[in-house]
Amino acid sequence: MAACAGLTPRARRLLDRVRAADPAGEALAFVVSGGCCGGTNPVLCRRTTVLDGFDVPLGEAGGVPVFAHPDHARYLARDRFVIDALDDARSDTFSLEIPYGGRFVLRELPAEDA
Amino acid sequence: MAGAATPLGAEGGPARYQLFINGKFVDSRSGKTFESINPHDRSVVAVVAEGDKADIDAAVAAARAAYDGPWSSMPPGERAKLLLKMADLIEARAMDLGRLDTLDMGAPLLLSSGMAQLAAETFRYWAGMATKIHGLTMPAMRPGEYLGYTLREPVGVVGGITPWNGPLIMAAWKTAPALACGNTVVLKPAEHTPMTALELARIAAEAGLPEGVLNVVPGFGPTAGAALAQHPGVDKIAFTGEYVTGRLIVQMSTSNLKTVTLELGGKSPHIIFDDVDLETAVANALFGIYMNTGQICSAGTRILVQESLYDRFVARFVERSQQIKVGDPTDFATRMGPLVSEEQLRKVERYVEIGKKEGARLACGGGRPKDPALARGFYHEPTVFTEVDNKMQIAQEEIFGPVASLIRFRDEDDAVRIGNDVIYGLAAGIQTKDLKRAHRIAKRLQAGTVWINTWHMIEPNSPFGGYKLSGYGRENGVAMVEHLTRLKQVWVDLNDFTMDFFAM
Repeated sequence: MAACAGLTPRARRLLDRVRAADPAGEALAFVVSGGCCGGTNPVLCRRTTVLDGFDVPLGEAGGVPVFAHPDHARYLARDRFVIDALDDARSDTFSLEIPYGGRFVLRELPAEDA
Repeated sequence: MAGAATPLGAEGGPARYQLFINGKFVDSRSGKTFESINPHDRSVVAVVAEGDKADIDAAVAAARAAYDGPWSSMPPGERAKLLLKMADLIEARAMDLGRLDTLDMGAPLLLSSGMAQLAAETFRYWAGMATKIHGLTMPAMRPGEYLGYTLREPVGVVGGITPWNGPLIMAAWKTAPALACGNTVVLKPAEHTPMTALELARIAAEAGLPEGVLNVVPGFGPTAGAALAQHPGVDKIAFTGEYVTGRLIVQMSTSNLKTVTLELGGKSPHIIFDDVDLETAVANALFGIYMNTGQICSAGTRILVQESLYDRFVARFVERSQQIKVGDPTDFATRMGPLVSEEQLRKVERYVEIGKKEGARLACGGGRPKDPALARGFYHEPTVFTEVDNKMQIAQEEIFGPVASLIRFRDEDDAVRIGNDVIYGLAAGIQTKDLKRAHRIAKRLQAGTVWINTWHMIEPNSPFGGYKLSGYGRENGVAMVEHLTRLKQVWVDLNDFTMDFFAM
C-alpha cells in the first residue's frame, strides 16, 4: 500500500488554484522534504526536477506523483499520510502553491484508516 | 530617505514595509503586498511589499552596477568603516530589533535581543576581515625565473535566502561577510519574518553604504527566491532551509554555474555520559533542545543518555521541562514562546502522534498549553519522549519544535554509532568529565560542529555548516572567505632571455 493516500478536499482546492494559473498544464510532483524550517512537508515542484531512478515514489495525490529522497523515504514509506493544506499559510520553501495563499502539509491518517 | 518603513504601531496599526532596491524603499512592481502574522495571537504585525521576478531583476541590476561602480574601487579600510557603523547602529537598536523579530516569529525577547547583539558582533568581526583578505606568493619551481602570486577577488553579486528562525542574525550572516569580501548583495528574507532584514537595509542606508550595495526583496520562494537562484547576474547563493528547496536551488544554479552554499538542517545527538553532574547535564540538555522553541537546525534533539544514568536523568529532565515558563514572548521572563506558524504547530503535532504510534513513551507535554491567554497562538508544550529507539521516525526526522527524544546507550562505541546513524550531520555534543573520551568522540562524530560540555556556542569567528544532508559550505570565520571570493593566479617572467619555443 502506498504511503501517500491522496489529497484532502482542501488540498484539492489549493492544487486546483495552482493548476488554473498554468493553462499549459506543466507536469507537477510532490517531493517530501526534510530538515530545518520547512522540512518534512511536501514541496510541489515541476516534475522535471525529480531525480528519476533516485527519488523513491510514495504514491500519488490528486494525480500528482509523490516522491522523497531515499533516506527520507525509508521512514515515510512505512507511514500512512494524506496531503492536506492550510489556508492563508506561508512557508520558506520554493513550493509552487505558496503564492496562491495556502501551504501543503502532511497529515497522519487515523489508525483505523491506516 | 524616500518612503522608509513605518515604525511599528506609529499609526496604531500594522507596520508597513517596502522593498529596498538601489538605496530606496519602493513598492513592488506588481503592487502586491503580504501580511506578516504575530504567532502569539495571529494579529497582523506588518504589511509588506511582495517582490517577485521583476523586483529581483531590478535588485540584481542595482547590485551589479554598485559592484562595477563604487564598491569594487572602495579601499577595504573604507568598507570596514561602513560595516563598523552598521554594527554600532544595530547595537544601539538591539532591543527594538529584537522586539521586531519577537513579534514576527515568537522568540522570547531575551533571546531575540541577544541575537541582535550577536548580529552587531558579526558585522564587527567582518569589518575586521575586510582588510585581511589577500592572496599568496608561490615559490616557483625554478626560483628566480618566475614569480607566481594569487589575487583573492570578490565573486560579484551574492544572493542570500534566509529562514525565519533567526531573522536578523541570519540576515547578518548572509550580508556582513559578503560585503566585507567586496561583494554586493541581494537578500530575500523569509516571508514569515521580513521586518528586521528591511531594518538592516535602513541601517545600511544610514551608515552610508552606497546605493545598490545591499538590496532586500521580501517575497515568496517559488517567485522571488527562484528568480534569485536562477538569475544569470548572481554569482553565488547562500541558502538556509530544507533539503528539497536546497536541491532546487542547486538545479537552478546551473543557469550560470553560480556557486552555492547550503545549510539544511540537522538531528543532532547530545551524548551524556554517567560521570556528569546531573544538574549541569540537564541544564545543558534543556538549553540544547528547547531554545527558540526547538526551532534551531543545530538543536540537540536526540538526547543520548548512558543507561546507568538514564532513569535519573529522565526524571530530572522531565521535571525541569514541565517548569519551563511558556508564554508571551514579549515578556522578559518568558523562556519559551510560540512556534512560528500554524504549519510548524501542525508538524509538531503530527510528530507527537507518530511518536505515540511508534511506541515511544510520552513522558510530558504533547499538546497545546492550557493557559487561555495563549489559546490563539501557535503554542506547544515542552514535550519529552523516553524509551526512544534511534530507528523511530521521531529520532530520524527533524521536528523543529520543542520535542526531545531520549535514547539509551551502553558505551562509547554505542554512543558514536547511534549518534552518527542519521541522515544529517550539522552538530553534535558530548557531556563528560573524561577529557580524553570527549576528544576521542569529537573526532568520530560526523558533524560540522561538536560541543563539549556546552551547546549552541556559535560565534562569528567559527565556521558553521554540515556533513551529509545538512548541506555544504561553511558560514562565519576565515573559512567563509573561500566561498565569497575567487582566486586569480598571476605569473611573471623574471628571466632576461627570451623563451622562444618555436625558434628554428
